[in-house]
Amino acid sequence: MRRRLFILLLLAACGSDQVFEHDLEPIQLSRAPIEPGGAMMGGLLAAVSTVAGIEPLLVDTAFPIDSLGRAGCAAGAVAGWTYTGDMNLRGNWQSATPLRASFRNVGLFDTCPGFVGDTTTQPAGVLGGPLLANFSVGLVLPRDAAQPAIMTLWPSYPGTDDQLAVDGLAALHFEPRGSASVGQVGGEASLTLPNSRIVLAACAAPRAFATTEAQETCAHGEVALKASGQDVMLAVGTGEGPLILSDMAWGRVAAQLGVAADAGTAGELYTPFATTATPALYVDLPRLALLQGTTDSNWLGACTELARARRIEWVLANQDNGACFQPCDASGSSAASTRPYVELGGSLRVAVVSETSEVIRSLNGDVPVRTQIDGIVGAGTLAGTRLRLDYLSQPTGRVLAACEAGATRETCWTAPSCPPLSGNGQTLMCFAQTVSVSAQVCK
Amino acid sequence: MLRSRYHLAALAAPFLCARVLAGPLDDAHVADSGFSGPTSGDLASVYWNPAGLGLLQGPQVMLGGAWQSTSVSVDRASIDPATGANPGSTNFPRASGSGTLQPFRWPPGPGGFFAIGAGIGHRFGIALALYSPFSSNLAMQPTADGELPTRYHLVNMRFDHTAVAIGLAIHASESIQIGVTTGALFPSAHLVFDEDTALGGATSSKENPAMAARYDLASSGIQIPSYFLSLGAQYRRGRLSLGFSYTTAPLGTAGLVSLSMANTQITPPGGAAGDLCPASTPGCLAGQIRYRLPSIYTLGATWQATPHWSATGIVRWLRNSAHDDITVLVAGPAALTAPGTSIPDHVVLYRGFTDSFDVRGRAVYEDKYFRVGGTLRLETSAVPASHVSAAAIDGLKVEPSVAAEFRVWRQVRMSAGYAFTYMFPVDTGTSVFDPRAVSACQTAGGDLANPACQAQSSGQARPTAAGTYHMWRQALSVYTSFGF
Repeated sequence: MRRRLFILLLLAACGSDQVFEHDLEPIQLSRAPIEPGGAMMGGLLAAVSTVAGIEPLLVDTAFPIDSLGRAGCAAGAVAGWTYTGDMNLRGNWQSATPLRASFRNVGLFDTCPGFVGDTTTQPAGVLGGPLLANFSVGLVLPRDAAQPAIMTLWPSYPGTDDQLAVDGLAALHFEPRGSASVGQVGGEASLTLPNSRIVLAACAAPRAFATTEAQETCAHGEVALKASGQDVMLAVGTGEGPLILSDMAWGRVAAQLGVAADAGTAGELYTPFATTATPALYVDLPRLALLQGTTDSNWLGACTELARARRIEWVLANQDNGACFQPCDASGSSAASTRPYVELGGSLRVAVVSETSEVIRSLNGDVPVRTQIDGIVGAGTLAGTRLRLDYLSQPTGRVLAACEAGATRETCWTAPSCPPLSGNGQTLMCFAQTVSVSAQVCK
Repeated sequence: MLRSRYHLAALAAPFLCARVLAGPLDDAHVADSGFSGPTSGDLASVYWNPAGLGLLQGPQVMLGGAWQSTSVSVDRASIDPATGANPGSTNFPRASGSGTLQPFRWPPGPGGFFAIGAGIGHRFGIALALYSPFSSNLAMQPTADGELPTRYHLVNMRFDHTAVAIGLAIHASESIQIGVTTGALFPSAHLVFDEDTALGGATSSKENPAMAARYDLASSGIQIPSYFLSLGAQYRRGRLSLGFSYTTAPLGTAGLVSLSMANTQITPPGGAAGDLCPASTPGCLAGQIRYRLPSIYTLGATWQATPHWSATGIVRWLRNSAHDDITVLVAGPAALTAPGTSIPDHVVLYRGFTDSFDVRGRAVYEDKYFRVGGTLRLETSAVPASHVSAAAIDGLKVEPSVAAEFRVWRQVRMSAGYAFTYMFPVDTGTSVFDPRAVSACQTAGGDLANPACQAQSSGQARPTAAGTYHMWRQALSVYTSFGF
């Protein structure tokens, strides 16, 4: 089945001379339900022209292909072949609607994805990662379900990470994943799926934090011991609603939370990865922190990095009272730099699915095999954020994240990277405040 | 696309050539003391035709620069203040502007040229050079009433592209040399223009300075370079020399230059002091501009009529049509709601250039101790008349120039030249810029199939630039070469 998919993709990519016609203005998107019967905060839906009229088109960063049912999908899914065609995005659902973007001569699959969110939403196709990766994609995802989501397609996004950090944007770098290749076997052509999937490290269910709490001490060698939460790897999926986790990953998180792994509400999950409903266990997660998807020699893991950033933030907020940096966060006489992160909270809806479900298997289809991806952070989980999926940033892609106006720390909080702090009076912007650093490393 | 219909003619004339800028951005006379070109064999060949490096004899150094002054004037057509379209009851005084390019700074600015190289065993030639193949500098001055009639297209601009290049040539045979230059192009820029925030409104008068937001973007420090390649060949037989070269646009990006504008300010409408950034985070805006540079084909022929007299013809084909717009992108704090709502966080400045041809004829008299010559240059416009704005003034140009070179001492030669460029006045007719497209596109719901939205998308939905444009330039250049 997978081999057939690969061949289809190769054919879809053959001989196309792609033309992207778009402006830099916002494109309005609607949203599917986050779960059956849930709020309309789920997968992002554009309006697309088909021969059957204007139909919904799923905008899904996690989906590895671009597809559009040539005859429309309102009458039901019809699996077809591949073709070079056009994908014309419309401004709304009216019959005479403005053309807002046109992707011409692009390789498409003539297939209809399954329902999305619930059984009332049948997209005509998917604007997936391969097409989106040609842009710096801006997304405004309101927490208010009554407000439309907004997408902008820019050729790039200005500003270095440091510049944007001053503006409060957290830059989470990633190396696109999802590539898979198949050699020539039995006369079939070899082909490659492009790298287009954004995968970030995350800390699921970290403890609550406030700069008014008592200081957390941390001696040398204890940096990992003081972490709370569970490390997971998540794909960013704007076509999905809830946070989707494999049952294996949820088992670890549940243990961390001290709840039974099978406690929750049985239900169904509708994603484009499967044409039928995926059995799911719906649970709630108190909070989730998203960090960079890239690693380096100093990378400690998502939850450990989060805990370090919180401790350093705590010191900066309390340095006037004599607070000092914990030894485990020190590098010589300076506090270590912190990793940028986005923390989401306010009871996040989670769909727990089987490790062997199509959605989890598809996420881990990389060839060669890479780090296990535990699930997808969906558009519903990301509600309340303003994201810039800067695929074209060099040398690695980056997700620039900010919270919508009016967000509280409990619902959305972004912390750009804070540089090494030496306590010599340096003035800089860290953790959303301009601080003059006087704190030293604890003796 | 409009195509130039000017007839081209290669004219030999009793003038020498000095360094003067050609069409927008392009420098038609890099290191050209009046004697360099695709058939010559000096260090300037790094730019003109790397095959010419094969004619170098022994170690050489070339150093020099040019002072260039450009003057422009703009007589804008009247507009209707209700729509912003021509004609109407609002008249504009003549606007004038000027710009000077000179290399006396570090790193060497536009007009400067420094090269060091050597011929090795009459077989190879190699050189390293620093020069600026693309540059522009123009600032519009306020009129007597303190207004800037061209503000929506240009307040001032400076574009520099400093090239660091290595050239290598080899004798393929007795009569044929081939060469290659590879280099890095370091861009820098400063761009200031106004945006009429009233264009989308139904009631506000158009081009009201009180509704203008000022965008001031400048790069800072050394930027990530683009890379280019130049290939060339020379053929010499008897009295005839032929040369041909091709220089690529920036490689790997289809000619695109993405330039970070770290010092970006937007002054909101109303003339308020400062920019949009809160006092706690000054300089909170990050900008970027994106544009394309052309590739260039150069062809030349020299006929050595007598031992003292020679005639040269040169044709350059500049693929300026790649330069279709300048896209300005601005990022700022998420909490800053104005960019992207009441003030655009992106602006497309339409350019719509077209390919241009630069044709010149040159006659040179040469003796043992000196040489003199003259060039008459004719260049077609890189900008169709209806696309002309204060930011892109171009038309058919004629340029006589004279130059002389003397052997100062043994292998030390010094040359100097003067050139005057005159652009025939350009009457834009109906300008491609139409401010009514903004509201028309809004009415169409941003429909990209709508011509008004296509105009807006390409950057033509701006205040009209209709009028008559004048430009002239003077340049004085001095170059010295040393042989060892």
